[in-house]
Amino acid sequence: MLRRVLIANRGEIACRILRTLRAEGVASVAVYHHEDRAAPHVQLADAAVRLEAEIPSAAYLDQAQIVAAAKHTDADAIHPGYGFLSENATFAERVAGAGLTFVGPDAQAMRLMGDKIHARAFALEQGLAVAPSIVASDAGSVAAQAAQIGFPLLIKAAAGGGGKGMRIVRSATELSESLRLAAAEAQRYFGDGRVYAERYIERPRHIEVQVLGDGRGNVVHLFERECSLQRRYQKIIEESPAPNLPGELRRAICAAAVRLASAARYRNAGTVEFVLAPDGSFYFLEMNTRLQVEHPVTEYVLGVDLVAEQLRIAAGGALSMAQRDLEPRGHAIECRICAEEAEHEFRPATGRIGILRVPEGANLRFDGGIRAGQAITPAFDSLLAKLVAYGASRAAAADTLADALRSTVLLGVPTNIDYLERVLRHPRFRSGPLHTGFLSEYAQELLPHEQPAPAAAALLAALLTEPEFRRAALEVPEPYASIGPWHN
Amino acid sequence: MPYRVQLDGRDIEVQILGRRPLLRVRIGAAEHSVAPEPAAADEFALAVDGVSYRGWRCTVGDEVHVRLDGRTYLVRFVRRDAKGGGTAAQDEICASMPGVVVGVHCEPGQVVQAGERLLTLESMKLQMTIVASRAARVQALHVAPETVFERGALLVSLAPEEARDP
Repeated sequence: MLRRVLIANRGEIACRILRTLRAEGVASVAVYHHEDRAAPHVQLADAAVRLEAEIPSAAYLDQAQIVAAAKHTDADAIHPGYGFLSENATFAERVAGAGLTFVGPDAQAMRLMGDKIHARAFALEQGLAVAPSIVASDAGSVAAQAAQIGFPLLIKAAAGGGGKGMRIVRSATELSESLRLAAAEAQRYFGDGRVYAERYIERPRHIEVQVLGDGRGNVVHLFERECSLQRRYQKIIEESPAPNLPGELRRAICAAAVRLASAARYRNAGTVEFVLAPDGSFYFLEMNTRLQVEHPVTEYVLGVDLVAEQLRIAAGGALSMAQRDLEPRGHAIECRICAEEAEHEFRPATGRIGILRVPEGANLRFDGGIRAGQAITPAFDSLLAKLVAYGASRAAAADTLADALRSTVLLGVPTNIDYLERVLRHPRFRSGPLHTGFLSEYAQELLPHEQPAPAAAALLAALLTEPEFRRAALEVPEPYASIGPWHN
Repeated sequence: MPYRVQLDGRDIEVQILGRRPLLRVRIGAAEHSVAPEPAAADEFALAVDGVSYRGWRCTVGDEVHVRLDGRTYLVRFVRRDAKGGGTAAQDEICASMPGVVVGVHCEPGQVVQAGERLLTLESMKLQMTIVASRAARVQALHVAPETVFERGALLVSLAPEEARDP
């Protein structure tokens, strides 16, 4: 068993990992940049080490400082969370080289799956289908082959993930400019400008399978998650099980994921992502060699703690479950609460959290790493928290989640809370079919409805905080009341 | 004279019509009676046209964020010295949020038409294109590809230019 684990992350996932460490009786070490000095993950950990970096996000990417912090605090393992260094094979090697345990797969599996082009080739060898694609070293050859595959094409970064460097190209005229931009973006984010193109499947669903492996070829799957509700290629609502997925198709997709992970002798938690076409054909997309943001929905329907499983496997333990023991029960839905303006193309927003009221209740889980008074800056990802609900049925889970969003108060920075509630209550979300273009297709219907009476009340509530208006409205004698202070 | 505010980006005028026996205001074209009620800090309670409302509010600079009936409203006070929004209609185009320049599509001295692309920016994970909202001449370009900028940074200066016949 591990004694003390350093968490090389921040925000909600650092807090999530801390929760399991505490429950398992394992000591915890947080790391932080100065800007995060009052953040919840720093307060909750048993110890915290400050990382020096000019740019805040660079602190959480500084391998040497993080390994040194682990050594200094006598930690015996490092959990990378997701993002940052979680899929960095060099970091995993460095951690091992320092005599520490990396809570994740070995560097070899990370390298294999981290390079999307190699991963696709490996998946093909294992008999998985991949979408027809063009892999070429230069933009010229991609353009030449594009005609054979046909448009629309999806351009992706070889080293990519998180929607970065991804573009849909619908005609040959857009191709060269899109390739150039995608390559530049890939270079900037991943330090690797290689891109590839694959046929874009219209109205696809994004289905992924959670797996756990022991590194000796034993792999179990923890069923699937539906992650089709995306904006800007990034998931915002995820659920398990995938709604209206025929049992035979579910078994085939999960079996393909297990086949891939077994062949890679995969160790620890991973996720195999697939694109599911409307005709029921499915294609391997990529494998994420880490804990996913949306892992709580799997935990809910299977009653497992994936972080606890990760720790057990990292410590050299065997899988704690056999496939036959795993049977999902009920339905869980997660939504990602982000600092963004849903009505303005989901552009990221900044501010300071002034009021925070977190919903509580049965079958409800709020995974956050935020506090009132915290500044939300552009230094980090816009994800503030995840709200997850469980129910006996999908409708029950969606109702619980929508009600919980409604009772959430998070003021001081614009968020997508209202938008998420509208999505969860939308009749087509309830009935399906879901696909990755769902939010664009129903964009108009997902706009807020005009509600003149509460809007007037909200406007007046705001105006009454203004000293000048307040004085004019409530204290000043009548003749002066109508002279406004900031009129034109 | 009315008070000018923006509610979720829409300009609205509010006028105080009277204060007794109840506060009466005109919001846009509609008249309402208003009675503030006691509430805890961070919260508010008021009756508008006899209907009670209770919610939360939070002041952020010139804005007040209001949460009421499961809905969030953003109210901004429009001050006398305030100019319009941050579109390329202005002569000086500033960044509405921090980010990095990923593409420059114009050069100093160039005449651009309405809708023509000027810059591609990226903030957090979002990419956006800044286009000219009218014909203009690019007077100065204050950024280059890969330039990292803060919110409010000056990006491009435009000078008026008549639209030309094609």
